[in-house]
Amino acid sequence: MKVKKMLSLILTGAMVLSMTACGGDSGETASNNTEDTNKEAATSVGDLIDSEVVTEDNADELDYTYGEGVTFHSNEPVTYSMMYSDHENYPYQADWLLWSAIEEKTNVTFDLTLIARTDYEDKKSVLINSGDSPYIIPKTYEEGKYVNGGQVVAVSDWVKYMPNYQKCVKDWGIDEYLKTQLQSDGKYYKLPGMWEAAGGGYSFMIRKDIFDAAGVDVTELEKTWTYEDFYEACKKVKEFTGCDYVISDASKGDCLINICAAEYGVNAGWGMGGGLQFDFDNLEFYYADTQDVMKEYLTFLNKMVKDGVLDPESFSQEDDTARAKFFNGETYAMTGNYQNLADYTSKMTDPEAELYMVVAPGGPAGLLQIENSKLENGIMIAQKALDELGEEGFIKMLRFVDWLWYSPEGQMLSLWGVEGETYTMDGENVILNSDISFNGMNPDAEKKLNVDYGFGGGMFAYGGSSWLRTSKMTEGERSFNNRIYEYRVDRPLIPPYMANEEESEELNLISTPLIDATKAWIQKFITGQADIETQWEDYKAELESLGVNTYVTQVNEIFQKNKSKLGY
Amino acid sequence: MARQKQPKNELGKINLGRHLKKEWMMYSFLVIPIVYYVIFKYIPMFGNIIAFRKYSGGVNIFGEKWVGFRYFRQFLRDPSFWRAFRNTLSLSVTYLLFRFPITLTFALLLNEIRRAKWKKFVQTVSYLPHFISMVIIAGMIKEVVSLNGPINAMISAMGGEKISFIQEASWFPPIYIISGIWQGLGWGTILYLAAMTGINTELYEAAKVDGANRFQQAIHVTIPGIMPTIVTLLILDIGGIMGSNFEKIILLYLPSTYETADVISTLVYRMGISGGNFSYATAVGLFEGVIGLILVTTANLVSRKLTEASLW
Amino acid sequence: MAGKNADLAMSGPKVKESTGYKIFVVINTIIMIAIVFFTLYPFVYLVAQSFSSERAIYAGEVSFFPVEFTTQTYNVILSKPDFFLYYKNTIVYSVVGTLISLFGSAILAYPLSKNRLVLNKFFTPFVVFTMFFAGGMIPNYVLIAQALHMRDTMWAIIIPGAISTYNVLIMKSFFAGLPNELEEAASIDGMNAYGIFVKIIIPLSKPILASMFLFYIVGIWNNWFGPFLYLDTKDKWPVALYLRQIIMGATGTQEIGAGSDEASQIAANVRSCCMVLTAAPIICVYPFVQKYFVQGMMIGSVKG
Repeated sequence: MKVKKMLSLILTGAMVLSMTACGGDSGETASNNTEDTNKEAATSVGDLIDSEVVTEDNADELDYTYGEGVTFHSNEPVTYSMMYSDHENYPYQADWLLWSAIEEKTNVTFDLTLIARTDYEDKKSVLINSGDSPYIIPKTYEEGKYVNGGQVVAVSDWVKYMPNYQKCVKDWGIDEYLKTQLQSDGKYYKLPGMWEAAGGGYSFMIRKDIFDAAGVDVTELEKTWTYEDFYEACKKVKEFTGCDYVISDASKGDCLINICAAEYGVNAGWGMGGGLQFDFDNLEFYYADTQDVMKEYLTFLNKMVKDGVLDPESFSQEDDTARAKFFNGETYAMTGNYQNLADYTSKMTDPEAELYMVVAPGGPAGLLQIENSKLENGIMIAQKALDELGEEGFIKMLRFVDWLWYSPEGQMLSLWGVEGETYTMDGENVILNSDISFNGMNPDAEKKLNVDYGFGGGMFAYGGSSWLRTSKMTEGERSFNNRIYEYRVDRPLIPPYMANEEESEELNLISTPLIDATKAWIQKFITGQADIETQWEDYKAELESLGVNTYVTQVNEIFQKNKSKLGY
Repeated sequence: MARQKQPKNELGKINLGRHLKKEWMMYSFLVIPIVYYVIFKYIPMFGNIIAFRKYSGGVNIFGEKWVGFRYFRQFLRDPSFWRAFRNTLSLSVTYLLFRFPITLTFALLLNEIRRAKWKKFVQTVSYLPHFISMVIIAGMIKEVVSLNGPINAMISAMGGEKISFIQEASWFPPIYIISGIWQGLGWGTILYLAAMTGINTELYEAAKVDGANRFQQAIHVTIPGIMPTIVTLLILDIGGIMGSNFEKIILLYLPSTYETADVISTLVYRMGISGGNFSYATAVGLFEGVIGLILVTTANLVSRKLTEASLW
Repeated sequence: MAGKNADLAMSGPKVKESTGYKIFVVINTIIMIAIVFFTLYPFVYLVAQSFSSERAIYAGEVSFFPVEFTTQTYNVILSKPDFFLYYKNTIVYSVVGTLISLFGSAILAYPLSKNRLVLNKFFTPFVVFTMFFAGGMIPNYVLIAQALHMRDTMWAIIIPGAISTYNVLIMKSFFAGLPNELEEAASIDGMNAYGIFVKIIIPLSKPILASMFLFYIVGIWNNWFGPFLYLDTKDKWPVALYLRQIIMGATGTQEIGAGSDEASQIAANVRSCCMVLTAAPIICVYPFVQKYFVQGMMIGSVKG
């Protein structure tokens, strides 16, 4: 054991030496630039989000091929350990074509730690914190809590070795988005999945047949409607059908109140986060949920509940129950994302039912797109990989990751599989083999692309060009996306304030009870257990007693300290 | 359990060497279990040191630096901690107050059933809920108390107004307690029934000769016969007051019911595990343990004084 | 034992029963019927669901009996070889684990139950202490997975939780309640402690051993947390972990950011079917173990 460790240390040392000797030049200049961070936004961001690529002149000495437009291939077979989030709908199979196709192209195999999707976060936390993590840690949404433990690599130091990654960043204008990932040391720790354009996201799925019959023309309305219009439309449906509620939602209401909050410029549900919004004029953060517009927002949602449009059980029932009500025709709208549509359509009890994704209504903050990021979940790399593989081996692994997740070839493989075996190309179009079904295509086919072949799953297939993204969309989904781009404008990204460990700990202690209390009040106001007119001041007083002002002041102080790093 | 009063052995008063020589075989039973306890229970306990040290994840599982009672001060200052503390106590105590007599009564009633087959059937059925995972139980509870569920159907049939039970803080404790009794009723009787088998039938015969009816037999023979078991379970339950059914609460509570439903373990989960603040979580865990230990020791002491029965 | 008591009562000279007692019997029976009904109903519902069509479940038509009866769901699940593999794992873990647990608990509880062993003054608190203080998840993981190299083995699931202090205390109080006379007699006959334990204590303790057997086996059978933490390869999974994956995937609240492909659901009938299949064996084992409760073995042995 000890001997092995010593040996690997010595090896690492040797490799570091040889690396700096042969090709570190451009890397060094790049990092030097960070010093003279400047007022000018564009350049300082450019410095921070380094999009340089290191090219070595010793490429022919490497035992593998890599690069833009080059397939990564290792001469010797290599195995990398990786966490794998196993999905119950397409459970892991060792004999998937996916694995053999990757091996065939790259000579790489995986040593997987298999974890059920629902427990993935917990086990990830245990493995990383006990220093026992596999090298590659994909499907990470929240990397912040691992940063201080020193068990994950600051990947921003290494992306210069990843040509495909850097190309995506540059070509798709990802730097702005990468900023949101920066930690207090000015580095980032996760290689995010990247899309060329932000996606459609969540919205309302409605029974078009019923809305039409009630005299509501959603296709015309959705172009400019606000939540008040949406309310009127739902009222008509309610009067027409005599239903108890028009909407009974899943996700404990968190999805619905989030997409609505986005249009009011407040925070709720999934988007609660730290409860903060950013004032771009004065460059400071403020607590959104004590503003007057919040009162407007709550009054609106309360009206939805009071008048029998929104089922108060939306906030407590299981997702199953909510869906059952929708499937049985007890309710006529619920939130979801486009991929739910085909699945839900097939489960409707009424064969005449026609489902339609509307563009979500706007609000006081404007007609905004819900989804405002081009980033997806991402990959962390364990420090252990660097320790055990040595710098050279580590870079080799990164280049494999670069190929599989960020090259068009790798993305194509992960999503569609092997040309000739699972799909064929017809000019620009991907034609899935007729005996394979996927994402609403060939619904009657015997085999499924994800279940039987492993492609198109959530581990590898996310991120990519708009062409790739639309390639798997049905006509309806494409139109939904286009309607959003056409009728809605971008929602600005909130910058990070980059608190360090001590600061985060302090902030956490205030924010956890604060957010808990805010959430509780939001729910009480909406469901009518608390009265907005008479208890609004009580609510504000409680938040003040929980330190909302201190919280905002501290955040702003931290932000002032760090804002130059972001180019403000 | 020291049911019979025995001459008390005091450590100091006997010759330890001679004692060991005489009883080494009895003590040898303990070797494997004690090794087991040291390795699997005591060694990981050293990890609790991070309650006093700053730990931010990573290989150094003992943390980076001493911070003294910082994390203890943090949570003692925190109003949400005290709310969770109150809720933990009140949920556990009320649950215990209801469950204990109900389970015992059920065990006695079962014992009164004469037809062996019927009795066996009731028993078997009543154990079932124990086998079902909490995820399913929680789902069933929500169905029952939902607006469209049977309870609200009854309320509206009687002309009342429907209540959204699961969303109202005041309804959380009853839901928690009633469902807990439902799930644990049968299972809780197992040990009582096992203890009842240990009661000498001659005692019943004697009672009958004295003219005692079934009810009197239950009071004067059965209950004293299973008293050691009752006391053991009661002490254990009192010791467990600081713990609550984490899995169930986390599946049933909502932001709007935190007021009565948020307990220490769920608070620690939100504050600590999900946020990665292991030090804070450990500090609260230690605090919880100390209180539990005090409670169980006190209960044991009181019981030894009052009933001669004790755990140790 | 009650069954036996009842027989005795009936075979003995007829004691005239009061009207009060008769009323009691009626009320008691009604209470029992109510308990049986309320306890059973959710299970009837579950079984009915598992044999119903997905459409009927979503339409809320299932209440007591299967609607649009089908065994298709069972066919689908049982045709997956994986399910049997998980099942086999569960059986292996449960049997091996329960035996180890029973053994460990008994050899600990037995000496602790003897007041004459003065060192128990130290050992009992030593054991009880662990009920209130435990190491965190990370130290446990480091110990078991790394220091003891049990990662991804069956032992990581079985050994760390083998002895439950709670159960030990219950066994201890049972042992303490056993009559001393038999042990003393055996001791005088020259039997040593091991012999007494195996030949006298164990046979006398069948009721408690049976209870403990059930306690432990149910614990291991439903344990998903240990396997989740320590197992890395899916072919070692027990059925509880698989069931959890299926149920959590479906009833859990959909999380923010869940990707597109994560959205589709496992049908409700598949879930209920899995639940039925998982709970069934334990429910089947139970009556066989219960036999020991009702045989009144101890009484016989004391008398004899």
